Amino acid sequence: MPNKQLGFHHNMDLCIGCKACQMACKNEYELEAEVNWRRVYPYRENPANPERNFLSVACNHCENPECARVCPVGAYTKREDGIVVQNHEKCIGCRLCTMACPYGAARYSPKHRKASKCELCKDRLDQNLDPACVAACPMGALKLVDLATFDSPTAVRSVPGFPDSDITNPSIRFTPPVAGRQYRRDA
Amino acid sequence: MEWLSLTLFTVLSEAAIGLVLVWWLLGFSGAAVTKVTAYTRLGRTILLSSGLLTGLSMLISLEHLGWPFSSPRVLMGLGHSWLSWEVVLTGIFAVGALALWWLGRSGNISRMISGLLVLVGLGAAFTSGMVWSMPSVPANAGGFPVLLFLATTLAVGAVLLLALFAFTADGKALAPEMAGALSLLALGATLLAGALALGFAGAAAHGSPEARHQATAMTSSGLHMARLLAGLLLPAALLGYLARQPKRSALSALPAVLLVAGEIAGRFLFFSTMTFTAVGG
Amino acid sequence: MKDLFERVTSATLSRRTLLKASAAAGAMAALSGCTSQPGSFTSPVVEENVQTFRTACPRNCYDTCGQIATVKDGVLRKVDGDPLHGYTQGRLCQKGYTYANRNYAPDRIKYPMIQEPRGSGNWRRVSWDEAMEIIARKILDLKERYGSTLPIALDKYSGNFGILHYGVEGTLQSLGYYTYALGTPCWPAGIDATNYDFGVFQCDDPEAMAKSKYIIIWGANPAWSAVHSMDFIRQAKENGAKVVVIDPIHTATASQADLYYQIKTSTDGALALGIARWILDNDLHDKEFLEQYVQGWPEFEAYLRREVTLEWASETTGIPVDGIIELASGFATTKPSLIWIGYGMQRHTNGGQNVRAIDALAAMTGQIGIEGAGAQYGHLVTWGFNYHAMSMPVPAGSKGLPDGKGGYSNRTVNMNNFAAEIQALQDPPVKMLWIACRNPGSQDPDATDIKKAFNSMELVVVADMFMNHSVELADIVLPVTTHFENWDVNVSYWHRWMSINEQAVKPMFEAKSDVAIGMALSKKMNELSPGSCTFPTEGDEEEWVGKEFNDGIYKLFGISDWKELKKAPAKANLPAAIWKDRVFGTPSKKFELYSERTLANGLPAMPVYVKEMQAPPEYPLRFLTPHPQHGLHSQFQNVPYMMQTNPEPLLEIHPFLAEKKGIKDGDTVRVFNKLGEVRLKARITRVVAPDTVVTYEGWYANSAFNVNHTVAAIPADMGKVMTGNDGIAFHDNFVAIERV
Repeated sequence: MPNKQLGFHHNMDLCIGCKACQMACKNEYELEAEVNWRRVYPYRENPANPERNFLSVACNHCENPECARVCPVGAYTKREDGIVVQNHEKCIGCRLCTMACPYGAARYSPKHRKASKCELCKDRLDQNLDPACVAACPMGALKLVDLATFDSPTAVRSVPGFPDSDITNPSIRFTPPVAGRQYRRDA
Repeated sequence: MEWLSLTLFTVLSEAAIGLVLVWWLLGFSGAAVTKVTAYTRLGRTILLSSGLLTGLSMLISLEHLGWPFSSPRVLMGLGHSWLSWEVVLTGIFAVGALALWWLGRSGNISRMISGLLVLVGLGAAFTSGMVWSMPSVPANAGGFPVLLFLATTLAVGAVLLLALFAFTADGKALAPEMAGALSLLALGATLLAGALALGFAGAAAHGSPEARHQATAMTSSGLHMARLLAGLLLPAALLGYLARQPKRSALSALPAVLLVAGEIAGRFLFFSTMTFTAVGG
Repeated sequence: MKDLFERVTSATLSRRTLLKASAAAGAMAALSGCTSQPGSFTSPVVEENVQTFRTACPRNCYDTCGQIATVKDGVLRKVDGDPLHGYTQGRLCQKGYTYANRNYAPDRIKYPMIQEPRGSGNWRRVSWDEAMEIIARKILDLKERYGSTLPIALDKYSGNFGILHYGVEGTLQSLGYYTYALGTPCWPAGIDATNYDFGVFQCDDPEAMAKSKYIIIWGANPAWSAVHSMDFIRQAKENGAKVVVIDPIHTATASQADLYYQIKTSTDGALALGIARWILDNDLHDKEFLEQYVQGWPEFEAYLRREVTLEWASETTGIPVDGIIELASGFATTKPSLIWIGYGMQRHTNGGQNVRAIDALAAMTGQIGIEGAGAQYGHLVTWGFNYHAMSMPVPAGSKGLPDGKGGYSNRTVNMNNFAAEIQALQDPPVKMLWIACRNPGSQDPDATDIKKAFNSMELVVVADMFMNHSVELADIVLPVTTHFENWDVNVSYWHRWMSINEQAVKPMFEAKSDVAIGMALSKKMNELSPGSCTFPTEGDEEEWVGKEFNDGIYKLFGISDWKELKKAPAKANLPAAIWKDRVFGTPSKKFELYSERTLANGLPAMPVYVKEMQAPPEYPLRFLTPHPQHGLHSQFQNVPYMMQTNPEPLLEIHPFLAEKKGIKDGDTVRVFNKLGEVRLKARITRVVAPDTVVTYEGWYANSAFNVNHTVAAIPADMGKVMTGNDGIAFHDNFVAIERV
């Protein structure tokens, strides 16, 4: 029986790039304007549907987290449930984690001069609430999953444009977008 | 991110480590025995200045931290973090150099202990390179950061010693026997540093999109060209000349000036062009 | 909305004059905006001493979200969706989640301020007493010189749609008869169209979209501007529905479409008629329905046969014939089928006609009065409040515009041609402006003329939160509260829910609600000239919320006391398919394909195609300026969270056009026509057509950017019947571009 590993299932086919998830996270934790624990990116890999697919990524709570490996003060630890948390007190603001993470999960706050990242809303999970981003998504495109038991036939480990999963083995699964047909005026 | 403080920290500390390293290597030559007093006194000068320079570079490095006064916390990361080791080893080197300077006031410096100090210093440069060998920077794969940093250490150390041969009494005393060989060593190290710089950019140019972007950013920079020419090629030529015609004049110091400036420029480019993997490409 | 509501609840065309009202005030003080650096980040859900309040987003938005405001130690900590709101279902939107950031934005106006001279940027702080004194003296001065308060004009619209905010109109009315901007810039053409066709301005419950099997989103972008509807569309898709998006821009909504049509802008009527012709040719129209419930089918059928061909439709719209056929057959044979008619689509000179043509499709296929079917646009059925805050009498002896019956009335000016008309008024001229819940400096067409209009005033008062373009043109700015800092009640023009808005925190610094401002003004007016203002000088805003309720509202929502809303929002008891009975509000009581009421307004009786406005040869490109993702008109975009996410406006240009003009991604482009110009960076993208450039209207912090330097006040074809004035053809804006 594999260990519990909490993570995200991102259904890109449902994502409309509305950024409610990005803002809901900032709202939950009163983050500084420059600090985005979750970020919505335009996803340009599908020429059939250019510009209108999106990718929402926060922290992937990797199996082999780079942030934990490089941090000189040991601020990051991986919990039993797979969540990689940060002891924010310890941070000395060297920013190595913000560089080492292949996904840009760790973010530096110029105001507080420390790095921080998504902690999978561990407080909310303790209250049996979904993470703020999952709760905010109007399309249900983000779900909290336990990779130990997650099983979806359409979900994949990575999509084009997403950094190599073999580096850290991120705890994220995607359902890739399927393009509709288009009648365009520039064909 | 502002890279100046890390640039100065790494280059200056490598310069200091290199100086001690090359002095220690020269300890195996005949002249070090026949002119042991001059060699030892020069060694003390070097240990003091290297210790202070390393200390200074560490102070400069604090500037890049969000909370510099909390930096002693890096001791907590020794279990897994190259950065922790870099800081600790650099610190031990600085303290060790000063300690060895103090202990050497009797007129005797143990080769073994100074050899250990050299090892610590090389360890510092090695771990420093390992910090930047992150999978998120594809261009930095293949061990290049370590090789580049070690090459800098050797080359800058050698040219600095050559400069000391021209400007200190003890150095001048040792120069007739050592300057020629030292110039050759410096030349070799400089050429090595140049080859590695080109190899680094060349390898990156054939890698992933991020690596290619980093290579382009480096090679299209005017600073890169200036550094290759004035910071490596020119000093190499000078060193070649000095190897055959050793001089005790200011000319012996010129390679040091050019190389230090060049390495600072090159290191700044190394940091500022780093291209990270990111979502969305 | 009050006036519009009254119009739409009557089945006749009679106009009513607006009632009058005024407002009162009272608010309190300072609060630090800065949050301290925690040792770690915690969610309020695990913190102590935390209170929650029910609030409602008062913005001009389909969704009018139910919200839960979390407050700790008197500070608004975060805002979430209200899980008990059946339409917004416990979620907000990107903008809604920045509300705490907005409430404590560092550039919120803290105190009343005076700018001397106007437009100089030389602001100084004054006390409320001083501000009210200056304003009151000017009002009395104008009254003395002109014999009435008609020289005072109000421009107010949708910055805050909370019912208590009609206290602004109330305030002005309590001074006497006044001049006000009548109309609505957003959606009037479609409202009139709906009225001509259906006779009543109402629509189905949008939650019923989940039951549809074929949804056409026509000229709307709910992914950005009505995001909660997307869940119901998703539910429909999950149950096998097909989704079609028709839009000149490949929008984010189109990411959910099975089929996307990049239609030539403003030719939507032709597409609808083409579809109608195909339906007719293939005998797929519902003859029984047309016989029983529709007036004018024989005439319309004749028109289709005579004038409409698929080739013509294809030529006009830029959509291939087989594309039109695919759409027509999908809509006609997959039932129930529904069309969501967007407001962007009708912002054209032929906008109203195009809406009518689309309505016709629903009628032709009998797709009206069935859940998950129909042509849906909007409604105002839940807006039947008392408008107590607005209903203030004029002071005794007030004079205004003679109404021909021995009495007086207010004077109106076209909201959609505000700059020109306000300057042209005489007998008396307008000398003072009161701007609230509106930002004409940023949002009105012809920004240059707006500036001229403001400059021609003796006094300009703007009630607002931030130093936006209207405030920049003002003499006095009065800081107003956010909806977390005042009481209110809110409904929507799309869904059927009503939400209370409890006051969650004290007003920042010296901000006052619009009602509190009215009360302060009344106090000062009566101090200087007893009896000159009838607005109450004090009052409890929570009580005022209660005064807005009547038996009609209680019955509609099935509640007996408005305080029940503190526990949960309430939903109107109406059939999901509003036309279930197929009894329409038209003179014939049928859906009118042929409407005689149009003729009186110089419009065609049938939804025939009216040619779209053509680009003049010197300005060959269409410049679309639709609604932004990161803001709502001039709100939100200036907030720190938004400025970080979306720091600057970009001009979307197709690669073909960019190449022709030598423009690369990131180049600065000048977009201009004879009215003026805007300059902004290019973003090369295929989401726009090669003959169109797009940027999203709004106001960026510390930026002079304003698309309205190029937008003229061109009227849309409809709107005056139901809203007093025709709409604005915002999207019939033609420009040329060049690289700078």
